[in-house]
Amino acid sequence: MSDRQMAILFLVPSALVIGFLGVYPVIRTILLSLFVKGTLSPKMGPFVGVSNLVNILKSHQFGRALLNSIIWTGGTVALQFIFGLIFSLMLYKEFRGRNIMRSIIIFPYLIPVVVAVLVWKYMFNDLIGIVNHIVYLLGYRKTIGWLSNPNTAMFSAIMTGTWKYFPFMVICFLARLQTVSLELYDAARVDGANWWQEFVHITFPIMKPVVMIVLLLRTIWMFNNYDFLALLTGGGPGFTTTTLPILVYRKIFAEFSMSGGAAMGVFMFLILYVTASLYLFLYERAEQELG
Amino acid sequence: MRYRSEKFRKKIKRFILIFAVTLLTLMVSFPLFWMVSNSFKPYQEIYSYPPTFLPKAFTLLNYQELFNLTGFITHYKNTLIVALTATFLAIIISCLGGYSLSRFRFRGKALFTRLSLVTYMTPTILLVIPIYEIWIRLRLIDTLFSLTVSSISFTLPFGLLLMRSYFQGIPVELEEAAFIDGATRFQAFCKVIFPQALPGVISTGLFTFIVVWQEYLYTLVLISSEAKKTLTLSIADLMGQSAIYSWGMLMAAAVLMVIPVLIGFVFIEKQLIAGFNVGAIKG
Repeated sequence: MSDRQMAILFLVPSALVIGFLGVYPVIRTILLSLFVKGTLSPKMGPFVGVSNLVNILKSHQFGRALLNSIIWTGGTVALQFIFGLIFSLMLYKEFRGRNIMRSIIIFPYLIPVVVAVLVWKYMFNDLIGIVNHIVYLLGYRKTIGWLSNPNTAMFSAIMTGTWKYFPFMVICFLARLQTVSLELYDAARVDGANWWQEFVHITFPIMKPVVMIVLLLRTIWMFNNYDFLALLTGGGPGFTTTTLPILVYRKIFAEFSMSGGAAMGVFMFLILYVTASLYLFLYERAEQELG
Repeated sequence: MRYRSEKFRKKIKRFILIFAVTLLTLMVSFPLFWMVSNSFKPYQEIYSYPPTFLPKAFTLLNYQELFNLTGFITHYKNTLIVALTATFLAIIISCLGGYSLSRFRFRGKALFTRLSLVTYMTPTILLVIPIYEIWIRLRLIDTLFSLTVSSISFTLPFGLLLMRSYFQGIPVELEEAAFIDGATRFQAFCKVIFPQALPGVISTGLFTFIVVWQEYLYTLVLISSEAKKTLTLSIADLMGQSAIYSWGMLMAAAVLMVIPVLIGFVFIEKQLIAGFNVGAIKG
């Protein structure tokens, strides 16, 4: 067998998987969004162009879900960033027990989504949840249905999501911080710098490239995330935590409009793509201006 | 005197730091502690007031009830079958593909790499529509087979790129030496290259396992019959019936689902802490 044949043969399985389960679905979804097709009907209906999309943009639900998606993504990413920064800066210093603490902090990122959701649902339970008990001990004498009250559901969901996903940031930040030589800090201290000056002039500039990429990745992943909120609240109560992926799922498997769901999914992807490109463009320009 | 007070201040600062880190770590890990603790509490204790920190009357009843009253064991087996098979296949496919990408030059290589990255970033809710159609058309909907095959795609783009970079790090001379000794390329790959890239193989495998083990959306779309459900669906069902089942039993299910992940974590902990490969688990 020649090298060329072998190269192709070795790549065939990967190409099949990525072709059938990655590339083909993307093309097919775009096609579906331009036709009329029900989830249960085997045949493709007539071509309607962008009118699927226009219908969706006009619907009241879409705007509401888009707003929820933005709140969910913005809220969780911002909090993940804050906690990620705090924990990575604390766990960066050397002290006894540091390694075990790092492991404990990182672990929530690996536990199954359904487990994280289940445990928090239990803790948020209005009758026997530990959260309400703590609130009671702090002096508030009413029970709060954290996930069932429309006013607190999104807030509680954001806190829970932050807990599950912030370790990703800790891992990335720690990895970057480990490349800094401690001598740099010693030198700064000799020059009389305080901790804030150290952070602004040494730590932050070093972390900036990683921060930019990690924020982008987490935004993409939180925006696309279906599992977490679907399991935690199912989009409820009412419409309060229904994000775009949940709405797409409902369109396809509850309203049985495959093409409607596809159109919404494609539009969702476009929003994300434009935002990410703009972000990268602005970031690169800012980098150039600063030299 | 001044020197001593400075040293003292440093000590105090250090103490405050360690105290703060410990406190915050305890807070972050509390939900997991609470899960384990409550899985061993009897029904009465879970509903008693005030809540107990550790189980006063330690019991395994929650675990027994879980096994006897629900299909948990079947679902556990299903999930193990799907996750282990998908892991095995993902390792083989990404090793072959990664080797091809690292050692040979051919047209379309850059395009292939780019396409696999694009699919890695595409929302799964978008991919799942045609995948549902494919398995319906093949009449393989509601089988563990369709779920397993679909699961390979979750981490394959990552595995491919990881294995490629591992293979690139292995000098070509090593293979050439094997050729001179009369080995074919395939033999050289199996006996010389593969063992060298073992750390990459292990992380590709573990990450695939962890991702497939907890997958929800594809399973929800592909699996419908009770006998074929996986753990995420199983626990999601129980969660909907928390009025019937005790929270203690639900916590027992959660503990059992975490155990394999915990074992895997021990193996990849060092890599994770060093920041390698963390992108494998998108989500």
